[in-house]
Amino acid sequence: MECKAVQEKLSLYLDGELSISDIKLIDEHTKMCTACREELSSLEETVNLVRSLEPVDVPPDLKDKIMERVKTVGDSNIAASRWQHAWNRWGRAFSSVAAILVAAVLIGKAVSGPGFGLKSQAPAADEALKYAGAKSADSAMPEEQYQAAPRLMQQPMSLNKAEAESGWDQRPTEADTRNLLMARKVIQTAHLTIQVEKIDIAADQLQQLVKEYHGFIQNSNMLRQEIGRGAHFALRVPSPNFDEVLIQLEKLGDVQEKGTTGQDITEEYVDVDARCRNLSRQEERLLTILSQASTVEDILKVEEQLERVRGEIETLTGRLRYLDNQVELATINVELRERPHSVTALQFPNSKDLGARLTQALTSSINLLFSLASNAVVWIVTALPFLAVVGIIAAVAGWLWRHFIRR
Amino acid sequence: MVTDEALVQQCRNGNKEAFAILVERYQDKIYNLTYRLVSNREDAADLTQEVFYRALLKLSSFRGEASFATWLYRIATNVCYDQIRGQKNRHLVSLNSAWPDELSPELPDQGAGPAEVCLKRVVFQRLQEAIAALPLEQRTVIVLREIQGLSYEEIAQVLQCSLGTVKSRLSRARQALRDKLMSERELFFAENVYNG
Repeated sequence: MECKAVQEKLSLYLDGELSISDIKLIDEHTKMCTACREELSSLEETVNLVRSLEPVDVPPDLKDKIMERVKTVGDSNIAASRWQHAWNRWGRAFSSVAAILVAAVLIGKAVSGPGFGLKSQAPAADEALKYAGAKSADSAMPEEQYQAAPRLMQQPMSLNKAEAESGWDQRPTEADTRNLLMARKVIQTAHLTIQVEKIDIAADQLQQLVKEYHGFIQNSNMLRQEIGRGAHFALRVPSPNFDEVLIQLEKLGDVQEKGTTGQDITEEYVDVDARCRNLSRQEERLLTILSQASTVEDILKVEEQLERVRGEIETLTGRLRYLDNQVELATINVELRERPHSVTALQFPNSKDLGARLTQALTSSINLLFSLASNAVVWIVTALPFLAVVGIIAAVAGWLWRHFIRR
Repeated sequence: MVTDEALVQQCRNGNKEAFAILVERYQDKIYNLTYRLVSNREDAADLTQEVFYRALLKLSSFRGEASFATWLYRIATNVCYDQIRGQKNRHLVSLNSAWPDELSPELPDQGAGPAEVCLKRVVFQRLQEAIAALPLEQRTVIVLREIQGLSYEEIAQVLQCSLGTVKSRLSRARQALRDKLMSERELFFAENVYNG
């Protein structure tokens, strides 16, 4: 046996931890080998020396100190052992399942529950959508209004139609219809500003359109501006075609401005009509008187009156005809603008403008920062209950780990 | 005599007196173990308190796989390891530790003359210093084996390592300690010193 192998076993030899055959081998070797014999004796002396160390005396108050220290340990900590076995078998699996369930429920709650955590942003998103919707509705609003207004004004016309088709549920009598018609004399006017690519083409199309709908151009003028050419048309179209013409006109280009007005002149019309009829009756009476007149003086006086009445009748009839014309033919003012040509010259931003823009940019980014910060605070506060729950779970899990798993 | 395990059961049922008996039985061994590991009486006292405190805390997890003594030793070595590893970073020195414990006049040996007593104290002090100079793992096996008198199996249970590890570690520890002592051969290996 090599000396090294022997020396490695000397420690075990001293403790009697070797097999009988090993003990024999070492006994034989140490008889022969001085180095190993010295090694053995020095080790033995060392061991004996250490074993001779006397035990140190325990401080007399140590037990009291220990019991004092131990006082703080609650009975629940010690008594937990009764459930230890059951816990070891089922508790860990159960607790992990429970923890997962709790976490799942919380997450589910957070995702689907109203006004909680993550989801709290969803209503905001909804609102944003609504807002966007409102915005688009807003932008759509004028158009709707324009659409609605002509529709209202169209009522006499649709009544007209109803009269023709006589397909109404209530089947109003002809007189009723006429009364209604009489009751509504509306002058429809509209104005449109349309941006077009080429003003010539647009003007041609416009004329075509007016002809198609049996209207006419009351007046037109074209002008050349710095940014491009423009044209103005005053169109007259039969009232029943008013809506349709407007729709067609809008197709000429980008509608930039649109407005319609309906002026109800029923009162004036009725008034003028009544006066006219009165005057007609007066005229008839004057004619009767005239036929009965015998003296030239009388005849001349009656003629004078007759002339005045007829003049008035003519004025009123003219007025009526004008009103009728206005009602029958709607007026549309169309302004065509050519799209401004792209500016080719170099343009330096106005320094004042630049400063303002810089200020605005800075302000808006600071505002954004503030809003982000406030959102973050709100988010954290919102998340607090969840953090608390997670913290409790973590604490419980840690406690379980320390006390039952790691030992 | 009531077994340790029966006392442990009594403790679990809420009987603190039972624990007091366990403390009575083991405080000497634990105190000596901690003292040999940390070489400081004050620290040893504190550590002994800590050991029993932890033992009571963990009493519910004592399953009787090893004996109560072994289980308590395991806690004690862990507590000491925590303390020693923490100290490495702190470099705290007790005022008392400047005065070698073995030289402190607490232990007058009634049977020996003054010169002998003095020599013995010096030897034990140096021996303790040599043990303290060993690496922590070697120091632990030396203390558990030579001073506490544990068997190889018990040491393996305390340190939670294999029997082979205990054997080789103890062998290396003894050799290392022997090498340290050989440098003061005259002091340690003169006749009659360790026999006294």
